[in-house]
Amino acid sequence: MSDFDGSLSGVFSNMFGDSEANRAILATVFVTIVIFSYTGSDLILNQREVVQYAQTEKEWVISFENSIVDDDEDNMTFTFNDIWAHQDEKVIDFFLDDVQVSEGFAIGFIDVKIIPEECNGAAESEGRCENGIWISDGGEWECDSISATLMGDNSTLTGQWYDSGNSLSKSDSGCEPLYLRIVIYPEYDEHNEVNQSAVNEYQALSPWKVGGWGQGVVSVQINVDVNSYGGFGPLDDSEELTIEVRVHEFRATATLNNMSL
Amino acid sequence: MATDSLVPVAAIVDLILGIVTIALVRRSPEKPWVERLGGLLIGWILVLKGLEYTCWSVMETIAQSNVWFIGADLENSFFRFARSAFRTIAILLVASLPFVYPYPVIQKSWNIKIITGFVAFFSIILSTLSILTGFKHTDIEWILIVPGVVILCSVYIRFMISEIRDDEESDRRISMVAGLLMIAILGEQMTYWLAQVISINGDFIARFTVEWGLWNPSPIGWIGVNLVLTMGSATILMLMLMETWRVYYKGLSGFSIIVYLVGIVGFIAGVVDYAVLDIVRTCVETTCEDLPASFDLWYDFTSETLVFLFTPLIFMYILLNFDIIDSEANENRWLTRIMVILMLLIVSSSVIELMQSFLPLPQMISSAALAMVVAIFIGWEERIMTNLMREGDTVTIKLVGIGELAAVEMDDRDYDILSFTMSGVIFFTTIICLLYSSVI
Repeated sequence: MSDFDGSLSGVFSNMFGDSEANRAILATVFVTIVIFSYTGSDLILNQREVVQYAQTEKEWVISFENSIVDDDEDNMTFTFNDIWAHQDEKVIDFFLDDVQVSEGFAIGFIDVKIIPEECNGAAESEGRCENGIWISDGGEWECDSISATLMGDNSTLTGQWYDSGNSLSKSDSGCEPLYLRIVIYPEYDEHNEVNQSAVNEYQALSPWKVGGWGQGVVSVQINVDVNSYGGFGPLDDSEELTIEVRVHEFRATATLNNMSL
Repeated sequence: MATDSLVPVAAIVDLILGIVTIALVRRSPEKPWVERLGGLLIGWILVLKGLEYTCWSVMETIAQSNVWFIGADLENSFFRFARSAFRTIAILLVASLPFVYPYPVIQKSWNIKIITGFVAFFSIILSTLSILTGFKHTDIEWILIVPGVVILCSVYIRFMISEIRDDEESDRRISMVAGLLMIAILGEQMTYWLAQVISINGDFIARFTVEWGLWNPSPIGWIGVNLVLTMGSATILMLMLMETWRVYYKGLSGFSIIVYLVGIVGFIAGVVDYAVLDIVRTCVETTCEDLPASFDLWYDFTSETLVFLFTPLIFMYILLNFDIIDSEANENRWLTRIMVILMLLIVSSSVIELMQSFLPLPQMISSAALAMVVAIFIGWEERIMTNLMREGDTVTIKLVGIGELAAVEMDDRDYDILSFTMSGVIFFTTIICLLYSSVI
């Protein structure tokens, strides 16, 4: 071993006794400080704030813009008209692939309206219905028995088949239109606004951006029993029905509830 | 295309190497104090890293298979607490090492005592505080390695300059061991150097904070992370610059190649990180999108392989090549050889397994490849050992030669006290972690 005493000052004077090396050491320290300064300020001043914002749950108001998928501005998506003979059973298919849902929209629910020929659903239709008898200037007809079902078994339609808001089957013999409904999008209830807790707009809207719902075929099965009235009027042995299908679409937008900030 | 985790392999490798190192240091009483203390600290660093990786791999197993036998959730599990505690102790040992090896700053007879006291005191304080504060300030302990890294940089630069300027070939020994220790300590951070320089590592830190439920550091913790990333970037830039200068005058060396490899990996990683920045930011702006499988694969083969497999090998190389352990002594020879072959085989087989997890290699091919590796290691065992063994002066011989090492008489019992203290600290922190995880 040498005569070196091992004192701290001696060690440091040996270690930093070379001016050329010291310049390189100082340059390295300087570079380290520079890199640490700008990365540290970015991290603490920008990223920290971003993360805190990203981790905080906020209240969002989800608003819904509702409309009907309608190519020809008749306020309905499909319409179908046909004649049913006595005890006829027909299944009418409406292909949702044939309609174009607006950009950014999703199908919320589908309404089906079955209109018997007597009233045809129009307010100005002549005649009146009394106790199941349709009375008009041309005579009197007993209203036909109509039953309609949205067919769920083996259906390709992706929707909420067990939703409490559904109305999958109806029947009537009072010359009144039948109204059926299938809810397509989960939790969609024709609402205008709902509140949602989420960390950002994307996650607030994500429950309303799920794809895959409202695809397939809407199949409506209709049975008709023609009731012949014994009174005046021509013999009634058939029923003309009109089916109107309205596909309701919606688009959700999220607005930050400032009260939650 | 997910690859198998390297953490269990790292745990085994580090534990075996650490325990064997401590045993070999104990069996090398004639070695100078610089080598003995340096070797002992390296041994305990490896043991602590091994324990940390063991806890980590248990956590990975639990997370993947829902196997559960201690505690109710990962957040409050013993393994999470213990992993953090062992990591803290390892960092404290890493912070102490440069004060002793390769250029001892403290050259007094009481230096083992002061290092033992420092590590024991801060281990207990920091581990307990970490647990009690819910690991919010984790990573702040990286600040403790700043003086050590400054010492290593200074030693590397000084001896590199003197080697080239004064044509003093033996100075390379000191600069190389200082450089190797910097890569062993900051290797992972060095592979992120470009991302750090262009300041996009912050986006990754922000993503991981949002994405990982178990990591939510305070601003102080973020400073610790940023500091270690910055030190990694600055040191690899310095190493590349200095090695290029040396290559110009002295020609290419093995260490230069290692430095360039790490530098190139860091450069490519920076470009790759920049390319996936939009995905990284989704965690904050939308919802966390998965990073591409090829991105994960890249990090499996670069940063993770460097940290988990090559860092123990670097330590092993330092132990053997710089004659820290007396591998020539008859009673140590067989243990050293077993350790070397075992290390190389484990690492080779892990790399083959890693490749097999994403390449459609049949089992037969990988088995044949492994058999070839085994044959090479057995056949060239003598040559491998010769290459690994000391090529030149030890740091003690060099420092004595230039008159910068004091004649210090160490008490042999101090080495044992250090080992007993480390065992006690590990026992204490394990008990604390067990108790805390069982009462919350």
